[in-house]
Amino acid sequence: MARRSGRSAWVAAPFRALLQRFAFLLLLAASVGLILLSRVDRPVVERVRAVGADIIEPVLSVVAQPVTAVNAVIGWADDIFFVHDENFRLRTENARLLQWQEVARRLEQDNAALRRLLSAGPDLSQTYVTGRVIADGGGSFVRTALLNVGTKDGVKKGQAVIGEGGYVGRVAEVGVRAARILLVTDLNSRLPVMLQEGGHRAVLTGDNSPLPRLEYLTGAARPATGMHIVTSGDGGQFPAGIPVGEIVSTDGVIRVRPVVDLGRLDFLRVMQFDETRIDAEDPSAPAPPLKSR
Amino acid sequence: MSALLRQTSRRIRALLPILSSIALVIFGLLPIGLPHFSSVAPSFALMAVFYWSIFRSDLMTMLGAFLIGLLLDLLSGGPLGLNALMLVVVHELGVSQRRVFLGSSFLVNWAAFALLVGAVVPLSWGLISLLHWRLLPTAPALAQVILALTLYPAVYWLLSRLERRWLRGSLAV
Repeated sequence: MARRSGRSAWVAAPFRALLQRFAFLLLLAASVGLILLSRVDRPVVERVRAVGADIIEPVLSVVAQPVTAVNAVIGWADDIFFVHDENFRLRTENARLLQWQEVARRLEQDNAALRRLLSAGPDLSQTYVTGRVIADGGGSFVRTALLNVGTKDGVKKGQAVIGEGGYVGRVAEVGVRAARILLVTDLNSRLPVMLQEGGHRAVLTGDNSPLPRLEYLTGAARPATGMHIVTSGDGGQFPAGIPVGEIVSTDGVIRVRPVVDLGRLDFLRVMQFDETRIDAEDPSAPAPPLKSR
Repeated sequence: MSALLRQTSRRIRALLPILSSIALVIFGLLPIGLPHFSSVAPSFALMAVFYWSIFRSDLMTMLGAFLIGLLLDLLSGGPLGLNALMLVVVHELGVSQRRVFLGSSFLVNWAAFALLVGAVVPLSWGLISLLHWRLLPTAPALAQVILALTLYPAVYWLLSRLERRWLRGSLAV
């Protein structure tokens, strides 16, 4: 502006200032409008966001590559430092798991025998699509992650996302190449669950803290710390029985620690659960051929 | 030919503030292996917009700040428009106070950034709490403010290097 001189600057300056002020107010109003729109009309905003994620996915995938490499090196150094402790831990775990293996074999035989008795169809098997987390830094107000798989891989909105050991979240928005995962800890997350012991239904409500709350638990249930929480399958978008977490506190608010460490997410699996296949469990219906990908 | 080349180079360099801010937005979204870093990750976009709106307000326009905020909103999964709102406010404050900061030391700039982050993060916290009609946990927001203050000198250094290397002199206003 310093280069402008003389009359034109003298006339233009107040006009420019006015324009500037107008632009400021206009952009403020636009921002507030967008915030309100994202509260009122979610589908439109989700669509726009999915398109945005699709556009940026190649960039993020490429940039995330070296980050993965660095993480691998850190993990490798970590392994070396703690190899002794880890070895001890794994040995005790191995002994314990061998016992469980026995139990599982016996149960499997029992289960097969009982299924034959009931003439039920074979167990429902899910297929998975594996994707890598390419973005997760949503700041302190959201708990989401961006996965590099989308509709081209068969991912659909609402499908369950599984990490190492259990439930991580569900697909909230899906584009062609990328999908946004709403983690179980996010403020907007509501997950129908049940207590593994007793099968009492409840809703797991995220509140952005690391430990989501267990709400609407049926009156007869006696929640205690250490109890395991699994998905109840209500809503039909994914099966019952996926491990979700374990109750860590019951004073006042019941809080649940997720089984998966949500602070470190890398490769996640999206569960392809086809609701129509539930028919196969109906013994009277002819069992449709099960496809596995 | 060389005149055309020079002009093209000038145009590209004039985009540097916006491009560097976008790069910082993407950097802030990367899944870094640190546990729970994503929930306290400071807004690098805030630092960039603050820096450029003081030192190159001609190249970091208000619309630019708005669009950078919108990009961050799209990619981070938060309410659309929230970061756009914050960055427009940051830009306005930066530009209106730029005369104070232009001649002053880094420490003054850092202190001003502290005030700004101390206002903007609680403001977003309040807005989101209001939208969901529920008080959000305060610890991550506090951690975010502290982390932003700690990392600001690094971003300042980086951006001032960029500015000195590519924008000083040849692109005088």
